[in-house]
Amino acid sequence: MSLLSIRNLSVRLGRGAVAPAILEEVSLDVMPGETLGLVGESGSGKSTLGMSALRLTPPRLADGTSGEILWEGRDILKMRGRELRGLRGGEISMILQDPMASLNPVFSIGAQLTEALRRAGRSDLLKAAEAALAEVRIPSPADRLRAYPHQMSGGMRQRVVSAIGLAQEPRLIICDEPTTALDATIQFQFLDLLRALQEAHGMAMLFVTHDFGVVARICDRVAVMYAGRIVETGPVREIFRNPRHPYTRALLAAVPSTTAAPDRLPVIEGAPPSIGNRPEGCAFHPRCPLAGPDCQRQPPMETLAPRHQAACWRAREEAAA
Amino acid sequence: MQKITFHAALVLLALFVLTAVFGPYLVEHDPLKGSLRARLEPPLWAGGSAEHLLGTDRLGRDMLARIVSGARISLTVCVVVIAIAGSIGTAIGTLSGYVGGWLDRILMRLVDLALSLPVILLALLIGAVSGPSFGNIVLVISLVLWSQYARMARGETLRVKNEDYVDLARTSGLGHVRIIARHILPNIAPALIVVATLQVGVVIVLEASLSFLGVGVPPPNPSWGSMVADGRSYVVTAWWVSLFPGIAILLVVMAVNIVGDALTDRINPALRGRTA
Amino acid sequence: MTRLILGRLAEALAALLLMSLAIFLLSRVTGDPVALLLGDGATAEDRDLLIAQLRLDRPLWEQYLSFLGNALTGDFGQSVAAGRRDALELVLDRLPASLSLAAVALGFTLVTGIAMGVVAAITRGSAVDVFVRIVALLGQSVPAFWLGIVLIYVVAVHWGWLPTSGYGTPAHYVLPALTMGTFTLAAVTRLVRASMLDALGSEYIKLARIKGLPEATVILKHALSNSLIPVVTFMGAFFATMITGAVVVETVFAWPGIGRLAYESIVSRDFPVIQTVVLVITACFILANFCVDMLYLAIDPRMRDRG
Repeated sequence: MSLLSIRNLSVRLGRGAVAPAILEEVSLDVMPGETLGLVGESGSGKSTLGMSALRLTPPRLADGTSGEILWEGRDILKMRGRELRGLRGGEISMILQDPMASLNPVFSIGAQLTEALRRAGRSDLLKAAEAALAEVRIPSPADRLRAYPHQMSGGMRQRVVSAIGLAQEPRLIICDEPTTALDATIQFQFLDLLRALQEAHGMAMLFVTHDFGVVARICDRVAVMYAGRIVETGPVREIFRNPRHPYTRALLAAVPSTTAAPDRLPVIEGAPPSIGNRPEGCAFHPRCPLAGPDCQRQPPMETLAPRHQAACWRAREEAAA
Repeated sequence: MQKITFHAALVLLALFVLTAVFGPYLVEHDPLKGSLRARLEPPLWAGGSAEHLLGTDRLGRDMLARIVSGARISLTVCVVVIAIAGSIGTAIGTLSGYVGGWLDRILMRLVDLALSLPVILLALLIGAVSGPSFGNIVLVISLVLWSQYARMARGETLRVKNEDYVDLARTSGLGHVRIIARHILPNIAPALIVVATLQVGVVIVLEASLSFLGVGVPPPNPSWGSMVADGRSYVVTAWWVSLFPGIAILLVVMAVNIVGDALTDRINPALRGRTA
Repeated sequence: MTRLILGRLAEALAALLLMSLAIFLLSRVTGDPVALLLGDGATAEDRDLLIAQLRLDRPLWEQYLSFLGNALTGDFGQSVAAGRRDALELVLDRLPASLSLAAVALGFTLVTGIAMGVVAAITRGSAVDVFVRIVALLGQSVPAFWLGIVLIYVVAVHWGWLPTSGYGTPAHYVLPALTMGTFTLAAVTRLVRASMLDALGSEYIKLARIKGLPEATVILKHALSNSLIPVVTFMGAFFATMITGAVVVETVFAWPGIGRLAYESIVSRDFPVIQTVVLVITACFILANFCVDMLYLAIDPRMRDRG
């Protein structure tokens, strides 16, 4: 029984089926307690997907949004006012990318944390805030409560944002590239922290990233996105060992390895299409080494191995063979 | 919609400049000579004659001619003040930003000090000592405005100084003066032009206010401000004497602000709405 | 942080001294100081007395010192026009009227300006927003002295709703405060609107929504608190505008404050009074700016560590 169920979500810049699409017919499930990775380049629509789950996309996209986002059977896209606010924070929470900008500069850390805790109905606010900071491994938490965001480093701020995200004990936490703005040395620390928090609280995570290394470290399953569509999903191990979609293969091949040392870094020829310039059929086919004439028709998403799906005519042929 | 207002404003400004430059040659009446017989005549549509379209003032001087001459006065003051304040301010700011160090600190202290004083009061003081004069008004308004140029020039110079093309110029052995003249000044110019444009409105209103109080442009010059002051005591009966110059000020300043805003948007959106 | 406060205090004093120097130089160096300070109708005895009092026969720096000394004891000379009254007394008499008017105008400006700016930002692009922006444009473009005259004619004379001039009842405050505050009102509205739009698009506002906070809290607590900082920053510039406004508005509305006193003393060439008025206004201005600086330190935590 999935926690979050996205069904045929499309987000377009305008009404009508011909308006340029940021997301097209996206379907996805997040199971309780699992960590699902959402991988893609810039422009693939992954951030918009994450934002849509909490209806945080810019209002001008509202008209062009169709499909369903089901949370325990209720459609988030149809929720109004109080119901939506009840969902936010309490059931689904989010960690944003830029720790410098996520915290309000004029309020103290403690104030922003207790604001979230108060919504969770906690009464011993100071104690709870201190405990929350300790849980995200911030040293001297009692002192930090009075500190201001500009007095902390990026890594610490991101932990505070996590603490705020967890304050209301959500069942799903969406992470939108939370490590991208951090130093490389702190990134892994933070990922380990997230993993530990997830296990302690038993929540599910939807992890949006462009980095396969991060996926390998923290995700159970992964969905690969290209040009507004999901092209492959499956367990992480399986995808790494046996990628079926040509795009996934190219992405994995492009990850530099410390063991093998090729003469040149493999690249994917060409560039992803911009919104509104998507090719007919499979969006990847102009760049795909295995493209054929049938690729002018959009291949459906099919299960090609246990829990492993891909949308590609060649992959389907390979699996049948 | 915004484009229409912008173009309308540009047209109005062009009209203002043209009126200021050519107007006085085209009006038939002498703004300084009045006839006592034609005192306080109302405008054409309020019972007056076609002889004086906008009526006359208490000395029988033609309003239209005076307003046209007033445009010339406003424009002249603007040009002179902005030229003076702009040059001095830019020089100080650019030098401060380029040289840096102790010179920068001292000059910026000076700017801060200048900004912390209500210079208008000095205008009143000077006016009281030596009476209204062109020199007074130019000096005082320049004193009020120069620091804005200094601040902007310094900020922009600091930004440009660190750009690669300046480093390149330096490594190719260009002297400081050449670098400033050829690389820095052209690149800080747009922001300074924005400041200048936004200041035109301020200058016009300041000059009018000081003239209204009697310490600005000396009579009998038809500054719009002093015209409003003239008509104040009989505004109930001869409303046109105070009304028209004020409308002129309002229209010109509005046009300037619209154009200035559009320019700010184009050149530096971060400043939008922040130039008070 | 105490260093910061002391530093600002020192700067304030320096500014005041600079102004006093400017005034001093103006009175001694341009033309005949005795004529300026005594006016016409001064006897030879008066002249000699003044020269001795102000040490006009001594070097300039000595004169400045005695000038300062006199100032500290409250001696700014006597009014030339108003029958030899003590200049400082005259000025302080009129100060409360100006301060009350300024306070009302400032209050009106801030409350209305902030409200309008917030509403315009929230309803961005709507008819309300356009209306507010047009009003703000007009407000920043209309000269105060003319607006006052027009308001008197239309509201007081034509419609008879409010008194045309003078002082005494709350009704007397309406038109002058409105006239005085218009320019600043427009500037504050535009500033708040721009800052709010900035704030509303920021990441921390997204986070506030993610927390599930009510929209009113998001706007009024999180966005507005950040948007008010630029308003405080510009307070200094606003005060300067209000000073010009005070002189002009008090003159137009016959308000018995120091602005009008300044105007009257210009007309009657009453230098001792002008000199005193200028110094007193400058002192108030510098004090107000100092308070604003302190306010800024209080509301923006980032400033406290910067110094």
